Amino acid sequence: MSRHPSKAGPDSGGLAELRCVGRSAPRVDAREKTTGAAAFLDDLPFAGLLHAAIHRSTRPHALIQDLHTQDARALPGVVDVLCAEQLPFRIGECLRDHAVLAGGKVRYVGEPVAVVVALDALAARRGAELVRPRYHDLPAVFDVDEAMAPGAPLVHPDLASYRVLPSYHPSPGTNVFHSYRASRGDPDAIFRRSDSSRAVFVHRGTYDLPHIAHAQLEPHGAVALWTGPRDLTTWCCAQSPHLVRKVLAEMFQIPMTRVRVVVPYIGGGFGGKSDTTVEPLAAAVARAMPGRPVKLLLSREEMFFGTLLGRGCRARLETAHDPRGRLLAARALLAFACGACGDYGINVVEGAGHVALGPYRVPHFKVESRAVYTNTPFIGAFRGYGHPEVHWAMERHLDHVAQRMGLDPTELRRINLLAPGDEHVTGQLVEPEHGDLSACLDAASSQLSQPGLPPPEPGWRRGSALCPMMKAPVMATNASSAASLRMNGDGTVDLSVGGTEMGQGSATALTQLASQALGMPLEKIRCTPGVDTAHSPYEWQSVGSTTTWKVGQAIRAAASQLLQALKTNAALRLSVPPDQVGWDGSTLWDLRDPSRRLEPAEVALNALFQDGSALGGPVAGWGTFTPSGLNHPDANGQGRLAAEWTFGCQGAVIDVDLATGRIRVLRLVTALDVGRVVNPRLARGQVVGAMVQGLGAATMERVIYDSQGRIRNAGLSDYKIPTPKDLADVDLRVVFLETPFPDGPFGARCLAEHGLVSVPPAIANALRQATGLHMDSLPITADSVLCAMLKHGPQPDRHTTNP
Amino acid sequence: MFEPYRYFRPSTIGEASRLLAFNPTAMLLAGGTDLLVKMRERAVTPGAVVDLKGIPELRSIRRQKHNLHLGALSTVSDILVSGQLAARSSPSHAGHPPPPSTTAPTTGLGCLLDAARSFACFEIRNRATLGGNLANASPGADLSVCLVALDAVALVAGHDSPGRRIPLADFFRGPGRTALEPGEILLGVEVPQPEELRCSAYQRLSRTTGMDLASVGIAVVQRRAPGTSRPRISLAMGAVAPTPIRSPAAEAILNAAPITPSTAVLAGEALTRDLSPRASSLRASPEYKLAVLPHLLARALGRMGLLAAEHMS
Ligand SMILES: Cc1cc2nc3c(=O)[nH]c(=O)nc-3n(C[C@H](O)[C@H](O)[C@H](O)COP(=O)(O)OP(=O)(O)OC[C@H]3O[C@@H](n4cnc5c(N)ncnc54)[C@H](O)[C@@H]3O)c2cc1C
Repeated sequence: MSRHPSKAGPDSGGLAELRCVGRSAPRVDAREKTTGAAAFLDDLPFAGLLHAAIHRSTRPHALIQDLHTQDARALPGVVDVLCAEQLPFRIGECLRDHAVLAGGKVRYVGEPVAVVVALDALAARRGAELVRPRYHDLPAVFDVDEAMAPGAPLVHPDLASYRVLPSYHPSPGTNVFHSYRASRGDPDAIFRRSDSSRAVFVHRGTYDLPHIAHAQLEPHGAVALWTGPRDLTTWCCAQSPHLVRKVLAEMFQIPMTRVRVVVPYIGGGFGGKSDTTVEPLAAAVARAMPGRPVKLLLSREEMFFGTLLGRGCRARLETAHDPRGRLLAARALLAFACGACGDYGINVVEGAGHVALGPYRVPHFKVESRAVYTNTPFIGAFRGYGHPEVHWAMERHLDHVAQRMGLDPTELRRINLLAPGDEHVTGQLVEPEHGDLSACLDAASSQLSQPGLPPPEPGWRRGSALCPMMKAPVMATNASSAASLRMNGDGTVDLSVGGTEMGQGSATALTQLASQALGMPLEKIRCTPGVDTAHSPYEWQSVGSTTTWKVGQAIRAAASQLLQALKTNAALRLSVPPDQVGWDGSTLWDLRDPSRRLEPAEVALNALFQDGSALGGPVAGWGTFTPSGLNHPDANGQGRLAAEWTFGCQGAVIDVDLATGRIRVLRLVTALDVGRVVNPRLARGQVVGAMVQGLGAATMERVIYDSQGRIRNAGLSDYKIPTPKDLADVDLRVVFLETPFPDGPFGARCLAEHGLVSVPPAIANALRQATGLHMDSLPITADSVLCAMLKHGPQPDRHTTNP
Repeated sequence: MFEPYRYFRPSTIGEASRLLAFNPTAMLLAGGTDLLVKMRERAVTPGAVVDLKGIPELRSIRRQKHNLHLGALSTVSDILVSGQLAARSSPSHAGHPPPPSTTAPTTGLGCLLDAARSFACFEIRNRATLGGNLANASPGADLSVCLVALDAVALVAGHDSPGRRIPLADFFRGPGRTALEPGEILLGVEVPQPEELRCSAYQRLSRTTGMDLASVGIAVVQRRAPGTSRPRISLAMGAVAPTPIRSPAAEAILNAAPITPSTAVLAGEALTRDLSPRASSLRASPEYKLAVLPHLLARALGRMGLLAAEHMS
């Protein structure tokens, strides 16, 4: 672990003073979660609960000519059946293109058409099956290229009329609802030169990622209750309660003070519970049932077609290299099959564009990231948020280049890596404080080649590969955080934040940061579980691996305010000026006479004197943080678009069975420059979890559609994700580098999604090294490997050596 | 989400068949690892469920004079445990090289143990029964494939009718369809002449190392009847046809001459010659299944000690 001196602000002190940050404190929710005491949405009791179930479209694209609901209404237990006529709500933060219930036409199989409300869940479900729409089918479009072709069926013919924020660019009359474009220099001239000059090497390729599902343990759900015509409370498992509140307030045109969003423990998010999911529909339905709580809980199957999916990108890349392999120019088109609703994927597409060429220096380029409607369920945030897409394309692409040019794949990367002074696609400068990319490459490389792996079995071949990576959080330019710290009469402190604990460990890390910033023992501080917008401080969203970073900064500010208030009360009691009060985390004293001491509990609420009179007031601190200087891209895609980057490098060693195509991953490595590790065990847990999700994306995961756009594997029997058995023999190695981030708490930057980003290409490139096979579409299953071998045969690559 | 149903737990076979006879929409419940999944999806909605787990005599594995009896309620875990007993009483591997596997050498019932070991997870293995595996009639069901190769016979009881014996070759009629008549209960199976079994193995592939159903599987059994000069091979494949199926052509090749690498290759080719697995499987493409089957055969033969490891790929 390379340690650099800390530059992380006055209250951090030197490293020696970091008492709590850097320790593997046990999870603050460990007991609740292991004993089952932690209450999740479905555990919450409600009196008089009604249940809602959704009738979903069976057609990918069709006009709804008639909706027969009488049979459903007649079913005993059914209270009401609601459709778009009663609930004509349309939402969308950046692009208002999402009707919570399909009105007039359906745009994908699974789209909600009607909601049945009943006294019990079974009656609701049965009722939903009795709703019978009559459809007039329209031509549907599933493939992203077909959707972009001239004359393609339009998923949203009314795109021109939708409300859209200024920095997004829909193309009405097409299926393209947003494009991010950036360019620099004159790439076309370089590609033209390659026609005549042997000094310019050019490679073109196409790289595909399918739609994948988050497969969270806890299904999406919401309970909504209207206690008055303008008073709504929603209990849900949303990653971003404050955003849900904003959407609901706008949707029903009521003040935000009248909308309360309560989030208990969340059973996994991975981006799939960011933005809104089922909350708007649940709230709309409940409005028709005033005074009664209404529950809408998705089944495991509905989690595939009833909420957002991820990825679905086809990337076309062209690069030009000098004879040594140095990148001269690149042209890229990333086309995302975003599904039938764009608002959830629009920033994934935008974010992918910002990093379209990966962690490499490219002097001349032209990139476009395009958001395209298709007649499938829609995509949205998924761990990695545009970055796995880009890295899959770029890292596969460079592997082709290395092989064709006869270069060592790792060397090819090393000579092209971004370094301080280079510019990102967005025009932002790489600064030394952003982290040490080449040190990450070295660290990953050394981990990858550690001894200890068994030799390949007879009939198996081994390969290994390294893929650098970088990730920026994609977020609103004004993505603010707030935190409050309140001291209680016994000297303990309540920490409240609006960032959600969804399993990632933020409650623990944030408690550690508060402990560090206050100088108080961890046991004295409790992070209030759950978020309730009626009480919890504001948080833009818990996404983009930003919670520990952003909320941590807010906590530092809150802590200094709390300490000031504490010293003020103490100063009143001691009759000294506040700057004459000493504090060591457990005791306050008069700096001029250290024998005059106070416990924090004595002055936590006010300064009470012997005659019964009191001065001052309860000790508390409020802190906020807004990443500074972000703005919107200019016409050329340039701007301060990313608030930070985390650099890293990942690698894989695999064996492949030439007889069955089976890939066995022996070792996965991640080196990440995270600035400062707040909690080593939790940090490793996050990164390993992401690596495992990357392993799933690499070798197993894909939403499979039939020719009519129906998902054939909606469920965990046939949507395979890695289980402990798949990991039993994988050597998972994580190394953290610590180049402090000046704008992060005690130097920390984002680290949670990152472990996923370059795992798929590392595995694919290792496979290529082992067999010579280039697999450019995910996932790489045994089936696909064997079929490729039957077609092309394994072509051992002698250039690089096995570890 | 489950439709409401009535639940019965009879304690005798007679009572169970009466319950079936008087409840036309009743279904039998053993471990429930198939039935409850289908009921939750509401692919089936029985009005009544007759739980067989109250009938202890259905859960037994015992050696009889001319056969090995496996009761319908025997769980996959029961088979694993009893396998250790069988291992002691089975003929030794004299004359054969040790199998190239790191696990225990295969015995006569080795294929069932291989299948049981690769089956799901601990929890499912403790619930899932042999009877359920057969009656559910999935084309790739692991135990079913092995029992077909072992020439097992199903024992069936019906209401108001004498019991029947159905050779497993005639038992499966298609995916989810068997020769069982409404109201009939599968009591168990008999594996004939277990003393003739020399060794057997089951090899399967699935999409993941973790829990998954077989994408394709093959069970290979070697017997030697008293008085005959040469042992005989029988084999069955799973997930390549609507039911587990034998390959007479491949068996003929393996039984015509001593097994060598080249006869194994020929048998591998014969295995797949007339197969056309359905293209709609989510688990594996037809091309994949056909390509790996010969290899799985070689692996199974290798595991049985009938083919040296270096010839296996
Ligand atoms: C997570 C999971 C993993 C699985 N993995 C595997 C695997 O690796 N390999 C594999 O082969 N299978 C697997 N299965 C499928 C299933 O576990 C097996 O088919 C199992 O053997 C079924 O037995 P059961 O006792 O649970 O049957 P049940 O679900 O109780 O019954 C299945 C069917 O058989 C009928 N039935 C049961 N007993 C009798 C009887 N005595 N007479 C007549 N009809 C009867 C029932 O009415 C029902 O229709 C898996 C299932 C799950 C849920």
